[in-house]
Amino acid sequence: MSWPEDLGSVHAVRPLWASAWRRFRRNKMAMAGLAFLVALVVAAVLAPWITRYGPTEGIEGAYRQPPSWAHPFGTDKIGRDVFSRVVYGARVSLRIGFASTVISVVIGLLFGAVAGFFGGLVDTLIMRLTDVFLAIPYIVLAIAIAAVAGRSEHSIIVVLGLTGWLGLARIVRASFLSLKQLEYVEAARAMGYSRARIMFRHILPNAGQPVIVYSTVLIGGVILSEAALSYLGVGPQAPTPAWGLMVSEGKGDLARSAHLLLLPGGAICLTVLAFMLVGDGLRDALDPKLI
Amino acid sequence: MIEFAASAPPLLSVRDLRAYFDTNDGVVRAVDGVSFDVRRGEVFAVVGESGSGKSVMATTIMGLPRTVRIASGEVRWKGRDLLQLPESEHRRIRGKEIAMIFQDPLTALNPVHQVGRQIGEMARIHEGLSRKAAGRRAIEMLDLVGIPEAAKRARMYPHEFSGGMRQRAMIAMAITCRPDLLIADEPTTALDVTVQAQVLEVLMRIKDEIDSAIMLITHDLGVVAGLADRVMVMYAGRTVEVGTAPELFYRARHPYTLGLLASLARLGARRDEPLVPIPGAPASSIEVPPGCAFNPRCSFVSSDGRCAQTRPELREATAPGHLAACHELEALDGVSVESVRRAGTGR
Amino acid sequence: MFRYIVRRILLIIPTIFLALSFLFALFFVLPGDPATLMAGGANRIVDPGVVERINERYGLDDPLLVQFGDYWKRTLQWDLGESFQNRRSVNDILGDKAVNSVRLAIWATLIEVVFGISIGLLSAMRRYSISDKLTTVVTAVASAVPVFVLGFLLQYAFAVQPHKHGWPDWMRLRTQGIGPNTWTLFFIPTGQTWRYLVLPAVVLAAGSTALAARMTRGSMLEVLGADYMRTARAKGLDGHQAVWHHGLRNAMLPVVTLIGIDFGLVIGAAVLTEKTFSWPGLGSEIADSVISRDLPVTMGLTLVVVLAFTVVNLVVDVSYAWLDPRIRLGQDRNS
Repeated sequence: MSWPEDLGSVHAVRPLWASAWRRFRRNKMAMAGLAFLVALVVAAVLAPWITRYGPTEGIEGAYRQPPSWAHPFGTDKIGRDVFSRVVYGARVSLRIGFASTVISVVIGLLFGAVAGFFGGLVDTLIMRLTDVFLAIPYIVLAIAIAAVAGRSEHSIIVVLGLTGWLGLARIVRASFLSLKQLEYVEAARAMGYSRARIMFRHILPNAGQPVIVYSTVLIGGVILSEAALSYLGVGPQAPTPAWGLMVSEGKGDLARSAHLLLLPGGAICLTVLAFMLVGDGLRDALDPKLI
Repeated sequence: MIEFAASAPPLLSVRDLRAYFDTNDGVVRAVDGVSFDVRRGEVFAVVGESGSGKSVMATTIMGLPRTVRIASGEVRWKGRDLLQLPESEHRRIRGKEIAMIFQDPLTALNPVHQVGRQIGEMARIHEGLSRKAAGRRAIEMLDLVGIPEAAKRARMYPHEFSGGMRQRAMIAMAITCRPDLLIADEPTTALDVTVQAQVLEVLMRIKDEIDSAIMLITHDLGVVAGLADRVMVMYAGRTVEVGTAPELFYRARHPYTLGLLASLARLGARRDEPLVPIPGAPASSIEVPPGCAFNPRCSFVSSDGRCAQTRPELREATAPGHLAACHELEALDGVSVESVRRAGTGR
Repeated sequence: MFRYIVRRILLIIPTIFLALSFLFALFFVLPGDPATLMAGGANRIVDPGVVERINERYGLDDPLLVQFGDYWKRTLQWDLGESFQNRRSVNDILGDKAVNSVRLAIWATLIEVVFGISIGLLSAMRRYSISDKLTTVVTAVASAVPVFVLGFLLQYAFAVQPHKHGWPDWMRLRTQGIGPNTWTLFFIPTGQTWRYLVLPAVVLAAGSTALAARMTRGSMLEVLGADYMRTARAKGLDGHQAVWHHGLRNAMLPVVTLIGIDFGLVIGAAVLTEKTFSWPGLGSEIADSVISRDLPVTMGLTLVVVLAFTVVNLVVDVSYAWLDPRIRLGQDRNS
């Protein structure tokens, strides 16, 4: 026959990612989000070089100054440069965002994969477990763990990592349930591969797209939660330049110097928004329906 | 303009219809200059592989697709051009005078409404029937398409029906207002082979009962055989051959039609007889070659290069009303389906 | 259908039991002694005698399992205990605070349902229009802005600015507290109370409204492309009739589930909103009690929240099944 013999190669991995990137690039909002995130990461890494003051360094005589050339974001009530604090705060937020998302992804993948792959009793037990955790209001759980585990960046990472995996586990489970019935999995089974190998080498790569999208949005969600916990006084302790904490510290000055509160608040908002936009863009770009 | 042999004025008359989609990769010429007539009471089959533009053509006649750009053409229905009609008037024709049956009845029926209600809705909007009267009409219609216990079935939801039942319900819905034309878009493709024949039989019986014409759209020439009065074969958005069913089945002149006929699995064929595919992949509707769209797959290409250069027009082939668009029409005079089959299998 | 509801209720019981047991255990397993905290705080030296008396009074010295048993025995009789801090009975605190939270929640839900769904629908039906793009941007921002930042922003715009520019008093909104107790039918603000209600209700609703709008839009777009919508138009329905009779119910199905999924988020938002506006409700009370390790209050209020959460989810699932005949009828036949 004269049919092209390698029709399958049209759907091979490399063109998929290349075309996904092409579609992603066309999405202006997602590209704006990505650009912001790149800039934020660069700023966080280069913080000592792009700020003139340390994040906890008080400047004598410069209290509650409005934004000016010397202090683009003004100074707070004990004379710290707000711009420096916001830039260093990006380090805190990104560290917490990435680290606890990694924890959530690992737990979520494991539970979701096991539940979806084995099914039966294991599946029921894991799904009941997620039901139980979903029934406990997230914020109560987070405050409870944070309140007793102590106020540090590490405990916040653990708290958010341990509470963020529920949605991920469900997504992974759902894709495993549908993927394990596909023929190539049957084929791998027939060839006598071990279950772990089938799970992680054959199914997982194909369940990856929703996981990537969900994780991206989750980083934004984690940063939002971190800000909330800091605001409630169970996040990193002062004088850590955490954005949520800065908002909380500035709330008494809303009438006099609103910038103390609105600038770090804006930083949280933009960062979370950027992760959401990139997540949305990834979802559209990776949508298998369009491929 | 092509003149068709016709005595009475046709019911539906499509002339030079061009329906394009503007995409990021270019203009997709889904329907690229198609002309045909459908006469009162006849079964007119449109045959082509997926992507040949037959479904887009059907929905364009109905005025359904929102994204399509109609580059030219007219769709005359009882003398009026549907394409020029304001939406509010076109709507009154949709369902009442021209009704459509879709390919997949499971997705084409609304999952959250009872089947009877969906059928009755047709009578409510076009005939202003009350809810009660519409309900009675729905049961009547379900009965007509041969669904047992119609009154009980009318209160059920689409997912509670079997595939064949659903398509019967779809037919019941389409014929509620006794339309003059039924457009059936692959009505049996989503069904089991055993059910296909039953559904087609219902469709033909109904046609006689309500005296409507049917435009039967399918990719399967086998479905058409024995049902259609006339057949039009489409390729890459164009008509390649049109004629009465006997003409087309026994005296096909276009290489594509010949290929389709040769690729049919025949009952009673020797068991070791291989199926004969048409070589090559279906034409892209984006990069349209200047000549005949079938040219790259054709085994009868002329030596003078006309096939790649100029687009062949429809010409009279073997009888009045039998037209084919091929430069090599005359050379193909002696070619039979059997010879194509033999050439394809290399025997 | 009936069987389905019964089965769902039976599933709720172990879920609630395990959730609360987990929380109960959490407070004991994690470091930090409640008696010491009560006696004065973790960082101060406290009189060991006081700690002992507290331990005895609340049975904190008993083995964990005994305490666990006691807890459930009392909880099943709806004896929620009293606050470690001020000895108020938890039922009193509950009666006091819950009503305020419910008032806020009712208005926030109204905003979410009315604005979220209608914005989403309009946006989907006018896809690619300016208003659709604007909706996309605004809803994205609204789901990204932290509740408390939005709260302060609105306080700044509607209280600080009017004050600075000397606007007449009747144009100003209040930002702290709940105001005079002039409610009609317990949730309709009359007199001056509405000025206290507007900002917290809007802030609490913002995130969910954005989510509802985004979800409605996505769901409606999917429905608009569905085959049965094409059938509806092929029948001769006009665009509006098709959307109204065939699209809406299908589009609302996933949105209904949102209300259940969203409830956890709403509780989080309620805590932050109530804190930011000093609204004396359950949310801020829970947060305070957890931080001060006032165990009976935390457990009692959380029990109520968990109950509310599961009931809301039950109602959501049942109404989903009721709206979708595929599930309603499927369940009856299979179970």
